[in-house]
Amino acid sequence: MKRRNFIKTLISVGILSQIPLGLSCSRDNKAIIIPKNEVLKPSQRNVVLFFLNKLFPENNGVPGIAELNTYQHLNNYLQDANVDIDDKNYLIKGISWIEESANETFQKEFKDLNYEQKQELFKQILKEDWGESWASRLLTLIFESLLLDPLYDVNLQQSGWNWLHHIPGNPEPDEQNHYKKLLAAKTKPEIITQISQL
Amino acid sequence: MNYKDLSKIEFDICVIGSGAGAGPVIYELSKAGYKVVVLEKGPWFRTKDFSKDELVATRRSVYTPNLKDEPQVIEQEDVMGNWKAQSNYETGNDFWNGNCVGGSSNFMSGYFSRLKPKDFKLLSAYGKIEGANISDWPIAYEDLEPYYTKVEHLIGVSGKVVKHKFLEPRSTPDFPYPPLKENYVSQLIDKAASDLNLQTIPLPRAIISQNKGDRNACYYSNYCGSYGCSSDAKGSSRVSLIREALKTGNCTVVPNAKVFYLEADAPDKVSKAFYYTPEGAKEFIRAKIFVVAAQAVETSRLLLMSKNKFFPNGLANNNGQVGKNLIFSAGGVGGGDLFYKDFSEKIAKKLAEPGVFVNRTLQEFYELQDPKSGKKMKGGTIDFLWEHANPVSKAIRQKWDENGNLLYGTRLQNKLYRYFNDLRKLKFEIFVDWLPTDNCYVSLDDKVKDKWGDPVAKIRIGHHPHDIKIGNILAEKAEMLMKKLGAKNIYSGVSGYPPSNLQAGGCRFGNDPATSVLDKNCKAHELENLYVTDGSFMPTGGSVTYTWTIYANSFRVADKILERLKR
Repeated sequence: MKRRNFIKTLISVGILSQIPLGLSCSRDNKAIIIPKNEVLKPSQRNVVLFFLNKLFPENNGVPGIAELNTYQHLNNYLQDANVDIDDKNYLIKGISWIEESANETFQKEFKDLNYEQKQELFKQILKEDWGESWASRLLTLIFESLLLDPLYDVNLQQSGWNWLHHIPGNPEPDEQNHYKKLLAAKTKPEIITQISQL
Repeated sequence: MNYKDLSKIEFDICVIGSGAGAGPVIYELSKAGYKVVVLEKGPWFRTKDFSKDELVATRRSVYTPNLKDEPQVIEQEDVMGNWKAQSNYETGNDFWNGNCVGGSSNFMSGYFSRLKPKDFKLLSAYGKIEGANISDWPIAYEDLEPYYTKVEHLIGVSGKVVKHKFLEPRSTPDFPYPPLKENYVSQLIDKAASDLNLQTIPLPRAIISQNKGDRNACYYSNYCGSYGCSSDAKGSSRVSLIREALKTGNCTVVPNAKVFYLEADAPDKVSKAFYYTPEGAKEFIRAKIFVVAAQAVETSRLLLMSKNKFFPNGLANNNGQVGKNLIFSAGGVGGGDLFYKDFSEKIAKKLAEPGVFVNRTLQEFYELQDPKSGKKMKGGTIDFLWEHANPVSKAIRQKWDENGNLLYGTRLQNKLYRYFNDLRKLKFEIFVDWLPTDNCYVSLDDKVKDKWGDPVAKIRIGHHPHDIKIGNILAEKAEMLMKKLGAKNIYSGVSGYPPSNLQAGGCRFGNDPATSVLDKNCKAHELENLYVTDGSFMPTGGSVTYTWTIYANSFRVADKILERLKR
């Protein structure tokens, strides 16, 4: 059974949630966690994971997108109501442009390309202005997953910080001042008249 | 207490905004026993809400609004000389800052410099410049000096006074708080400057180096500018003034209250401030005196939006001056790389020490001589600082190769690793006396609306060529110093594009009601109970960051309001 079919089977029997999986496109990478509330379709996920792995492959001592949990981070980004809808649509639109390019170049769907064809397509797309711009956006998300606080389920075991010998600031965020909590404060009705309210 | 209850009270003072321009009025009036209400469009983030979280501080809109909900329109000149207006929802050129109690003073770096006596009379001291609306201030340095000193004590300024040729007169010998700890690079900067026969000065900071009341001293977190302070060492309006005002029992703060209209039911008097609650309901506050301090752009916008039969062009705007002569604290930026391999292991280790500050500034070129005319002209300040520790932002800047192509894979990873481990970037920031012109102003956009359906600010951001000329002179001096201290890959960029966080002007003060919005006490000429106390009052800005002057002036105006109330 090919890897992509293996995943398809798992999804069909409903056992994919939060299970670390090795994916077909990650032939030189570790297992990826598929988010429970995944925004992308499996075909879109295939494209994104291939590009993420090519942009930031796991190397000697360099954490790859599995250790960084980049795909989960991308999923969180796509679900974040505070992120501009046009920015999110742009990411998704880019996937369809890549799928179109696969059809134009190889007359095949992206999922049916072999590894070498995908590599060729990757290089071809990065030569296009739109492709470079889209990949740049992915890289920004990769960097966030590399260097943001592990509180956000990225940079697992501080693998990104450890690789770059980065010293985080003090105090690190916690559940009390989590991004989502602070966002909620922006709509809280409050009238403060006493210091004890703080 | 609920919003309806508030509307039944007549407060002595209603303050709109809570940053550096608002805090002193809130503090002084509350302390003096007057009933003060503060309407702040953002939430009250507590100190415990502040961590060193890059996602919150710089990667997402948490301290500023979402630009889809609250865009602004930015108008820029294209290469053909045409002005093109575009919503910053499309471009991302965000001119919002610190929408929360304490405003952007929560997130400042706290580089604090006083204006010099000549900065109060730029026109008289250096003469007219064609195309610039330069105007002397209606007050002198001596009028503000006691308040600069007050800020040193109440907000908390650390540093060391050293004699230099542009040292402003002081009523006290030194700062109340000793200098913060410095990185070894400060010594390198001093040495390089000395070799070039220049004098560096320790840069004062609005960060306390010793405990003060319930505020703790700086603990050198390595993440200062753009981040809220976790020890309250940074002199934000929130911790140093508003929290103290609350203790009096005379101060009411209403967070998440967006003021959209000031009602004047008489030709010379504001009676109500209308605001949106977080649920979108419209409520109002009644008060005897209104003080607007919503930061320069939004202050002008609020006055322009507050049209009525007495003020068809906006409140206090029958002379058409509201929004005009917007200025920025700007000039240019640059830097260079200090490679550890170029230093001994011992010194490299010292350079890599996180947390401790650079705190060096050059004011040697605060005044220059025009090479053509031989006349004296206004120069500026060069501040030195480390590149911010923000790792994601640092990484993003490594995405492209020298030809502008996107890097990826091993090449990118190698570059990232080297950047994070082989060097430290020392930067400099240049501040010139940004000239007010007819092409830098705030108006209301006639098409783009915010989420409440109100017209958004349209900001034309033109600059005067003189700003670039002075910026280039200073950049050359800064680059010379960087080279002397051993930096590599030295660069600078002098641009007319303003830094969105350092804004002033738009409601300049002056003695002539025809050419200014405010009188010398920052009261609107046309209204007897409306004051503006943020940076809007400034006709010119000096060649330093504005915050200390904004704080000091707000304390001065607070005294004027108190004198009036006691009469």
